[in-house]
Amino acid sequence: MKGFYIAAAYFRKSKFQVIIVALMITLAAFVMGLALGLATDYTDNFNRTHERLNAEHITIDFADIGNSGKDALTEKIEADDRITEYGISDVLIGNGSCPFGENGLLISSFLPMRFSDAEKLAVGRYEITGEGDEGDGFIPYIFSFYYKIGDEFTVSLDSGEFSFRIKGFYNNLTTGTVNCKTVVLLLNDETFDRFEAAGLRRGYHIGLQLASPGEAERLEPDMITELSDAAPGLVFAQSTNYVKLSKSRYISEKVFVGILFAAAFVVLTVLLSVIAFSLSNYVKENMHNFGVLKALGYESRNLMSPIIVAMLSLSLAAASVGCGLSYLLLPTINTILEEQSGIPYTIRFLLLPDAVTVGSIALLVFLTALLSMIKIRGIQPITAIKPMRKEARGILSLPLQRTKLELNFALGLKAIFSDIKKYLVFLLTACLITIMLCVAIFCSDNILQHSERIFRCIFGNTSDLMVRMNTADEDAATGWLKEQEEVELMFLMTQGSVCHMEGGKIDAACRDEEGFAQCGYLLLTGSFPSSETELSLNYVYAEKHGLKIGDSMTLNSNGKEETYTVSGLFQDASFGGRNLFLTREGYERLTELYSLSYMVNLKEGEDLEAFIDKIKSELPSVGVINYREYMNGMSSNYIRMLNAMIVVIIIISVLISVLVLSIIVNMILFNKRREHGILKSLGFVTSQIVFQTAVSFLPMALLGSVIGLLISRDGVCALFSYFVRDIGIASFGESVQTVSLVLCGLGFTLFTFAVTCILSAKVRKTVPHDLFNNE
Amino acid sequence: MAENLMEIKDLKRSFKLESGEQQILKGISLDLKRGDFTVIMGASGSGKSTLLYALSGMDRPTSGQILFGDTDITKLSTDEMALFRRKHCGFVFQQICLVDSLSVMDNILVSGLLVEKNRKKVYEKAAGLLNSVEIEEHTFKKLPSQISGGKAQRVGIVRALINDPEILFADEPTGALNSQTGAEVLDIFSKINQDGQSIIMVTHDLKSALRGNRILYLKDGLILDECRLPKYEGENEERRKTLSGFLEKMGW
Ligand SMILES: Nc1ncnc2c1ncn2[C@@H]1O[C@H](COP(=O)(O)OP(=O)(O)OP(=O)(O)O)[C@@H](O)[C@H]1O
Ligand SMILES: [Mg+2]
Repeated sequence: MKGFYIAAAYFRKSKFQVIIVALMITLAAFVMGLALGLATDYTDNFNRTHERLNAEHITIDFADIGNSGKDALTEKIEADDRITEYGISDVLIGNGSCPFGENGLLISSFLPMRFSDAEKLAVGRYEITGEGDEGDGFIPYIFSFYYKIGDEFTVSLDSGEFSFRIKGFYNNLTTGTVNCKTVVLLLNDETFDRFEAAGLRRGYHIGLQLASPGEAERLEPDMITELSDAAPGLVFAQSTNYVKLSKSRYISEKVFVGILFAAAFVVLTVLLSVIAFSLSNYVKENMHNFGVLKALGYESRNLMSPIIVAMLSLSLAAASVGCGLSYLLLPTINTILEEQSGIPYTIRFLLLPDAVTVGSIALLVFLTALLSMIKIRGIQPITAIKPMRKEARGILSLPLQRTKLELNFALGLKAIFSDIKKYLVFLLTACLITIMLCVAIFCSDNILQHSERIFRCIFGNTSDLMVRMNTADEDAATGWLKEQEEVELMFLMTQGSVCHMEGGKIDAACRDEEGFAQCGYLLLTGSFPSSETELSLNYVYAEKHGLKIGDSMTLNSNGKEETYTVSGLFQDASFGGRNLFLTREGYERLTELYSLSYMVNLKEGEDLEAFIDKIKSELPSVGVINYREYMNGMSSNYIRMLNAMIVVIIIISVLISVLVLSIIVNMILFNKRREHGILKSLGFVTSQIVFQTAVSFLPMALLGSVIGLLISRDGVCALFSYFVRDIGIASFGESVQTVSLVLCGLGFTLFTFAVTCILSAKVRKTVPHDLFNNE
Repeated sequence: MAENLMEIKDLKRSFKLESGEQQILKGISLDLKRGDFTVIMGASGSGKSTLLYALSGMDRPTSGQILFGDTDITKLSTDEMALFRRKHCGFVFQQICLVDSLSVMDNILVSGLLVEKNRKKVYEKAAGLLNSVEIEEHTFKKLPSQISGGKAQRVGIVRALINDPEILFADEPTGALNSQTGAEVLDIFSKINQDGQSIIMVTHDLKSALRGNRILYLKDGLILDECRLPKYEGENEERRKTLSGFLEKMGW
């Protein structure tokens, strides 16, 4: 019972601080619960879905020009004891594009499949996530963010345009998303037959389950080679594997979680310093009372434990509320992440991450409270009798007659020296918050405003058009394109898959001289290949396989082997770090080029659509892809995620700064109410005192921003590069510009000034005579 | 006849309490003359401080007028009242009320610099005033908590005088001091009053009251009566007798 009074006294005297602390605990739990939930259960959703759908470890698509392959394939697979289960579906195969994302385009291979066949599959099952009454086919869940049931779905394939009405959406791990590079269209028989009649090639979509799934990445190229050998007429089209998929499906989720953890760390750091500071301040101000209680026979334990227990209960309650509230935001975040992963996630209550969140926050609060109140042990009963000692003045006291500063400005600055601890808490906050803001600025600067920086890394270039042609048409087509005055420049960039003998399937691209000249920013060391015996290699792949400049690499394409020397390393995220560049001649040593792609950049201000129409009418034999649309389509969900992240960062920054400022300003106003009464009696007006209070925060806001910004100037860039390393980008984006940094610091300082002005406006209620009545 | 400093007409002040409205000043009318050392006396709770705060523009009365020259200070806005205090009033408090976190010198400058922007001028004036109340230079840098109560009150007086106020208000300035240091403070008051400073002082204490030349007695929110004395030129028996006679009559 005595304990209750001690705790109650603290809560009463520090009502406001307790409320703020509770809010900050709620915020910390909110962010941390969200991050933990996403990091654990959300990621695990891939494995759960994999299990539920009995999904594949390797999928391979073949076109079958000989129309004789299925039995041979079955036989070959049955005989292979590395394979435990499999499925072979009859499909049609076409390469092309469809509208996707906001004003975007998806380039992929499209595999129409009979719905009735898909239903029978035991391996790599299709799960319907939404279905209407009418319609002809199902498309992947990821499309549901841009298409509605009943919409017309049109895909342009090599052999023409194909459309059908969307009946619904399906979930499938390997054929459902952008990074699978394969989109299965589940069609009713009528539509399937219509597509087939229109001339699409027949083929097989093969799903394999392995005895050792971890081997999937290594076995994929072997399987492709072995299976293509099984029957003449099989032409390899696409493949993917479990390891690659599980990594790439959640890249943005990882970035998101990283940001959330960082925010949780910031909130927790600030929270704990606020608690430490509030409690030690309470102990200091109540030395006298504690001394009296000790004289009455209380032990330190009796004095500390009630408050600590109360803080502990408070943190348990507030953290639970925070975790609970995080479920309100989860649907929004889920939508953003599903748009990226393409895997539906059902929101559910996560006991373990929440328990860990609540538990760890409560533990930290407990330890902080304990440490900051330990001073009570040193209080002797005699403290009660001795008068309170006044702190000696610091050296930096800034005598008024010496400064040239305006009076209120000088008084504001002097306030810092007499209350330095409070201002240091704010310094820390300012520093952490500007770092967070810098992350937001970095994202906005490098990705949203200068999207070409990320496009270059992801797509290897930022051209306007991709023109595909048969080698036979090359001279005529390129000759015509070069003559067009809309064309700024064009270069060869053709891609294909080859096999590295020691490492497996790798993507090989050949470019011409102009092509290499246009992507100089990708090169990290050495040079691009300049002869037919050189190649340059993605640095991620090089690191993984211990390859250096000067080493040699043997490549194999359909049985033909050639050896090349590594001339340089580059970064490029388009193939998850597995790709290399050859010269055209180098490429042709391995395989004949039947068809080619040229990238075309138009002059500034030229009408892209009009030029595409012009090509279509002048060069009927070539295929044109609006590459801008393609890049937009691929990036629009990332962009949306980044926007969401920036919003989250800004909201959290604003919340933390306002909470911390209100706790500090409140304490200052409380401690200084006598001083403010005196100043008012001397003729100071409210606005002058508000200004003094607000101005006292400026140096710490500025200093904190400067420290924060110095850390983040290069730090944020390094951090991001670290995040995207795995997908093949060594150094991502440019460091935040000094101008933006300065603006950020000044902005934060001004924000601080405005908030402190508002918070300290309540000194207007202090009237000079309060001072006399209170005493 | 000395010039009028302040004209108070039917001044009322009441406080809203839970138990209802409590009338403290019930209609005070009074003229204050320039150069006077006016003393307000009365029983505890009679409203002396309330009257002083109203006159000095620290508190707004419920009704009535306080004319300072042509301005009715009861009509001023809160900020205008602050400006009025800053320019025309000086205060000396019983609790001394120095700002704890500022040095002795800064406590004075903080008030001085509100009115006069020239730092050097204010500093020199403050140093001069401090010397005149016998506070040495090495004390300037000390904190209020590091000096004795008597010294602190002398600093308080210097702060009150730094802007050459037209009226010096004092609410029991010796209340927290021992008789020795109290007398020193009163001597300063007498001296500046002789130099022409108008003073209005609230006190409980006969010794302090003797310094005044006009003593008002407040009872139940009204001025019951007043007693005029010649200007103070040192203690004498007659002065003491006149005043104690008056106070006895008032029921003090
Ligand atoms: N702000 C206020 N709110 C409510 N009541 C007040 C307020 N200020 C003063 N009073 C009341 O007014 C009455 C007069 O107070 P005042 O301080 O003027 O008396 P005083 O004559 O100065 O007394 P003392 O000699 O004890 O200083 C008291 O009863 C006091 O409680
Ligand atoms: Mg009083």
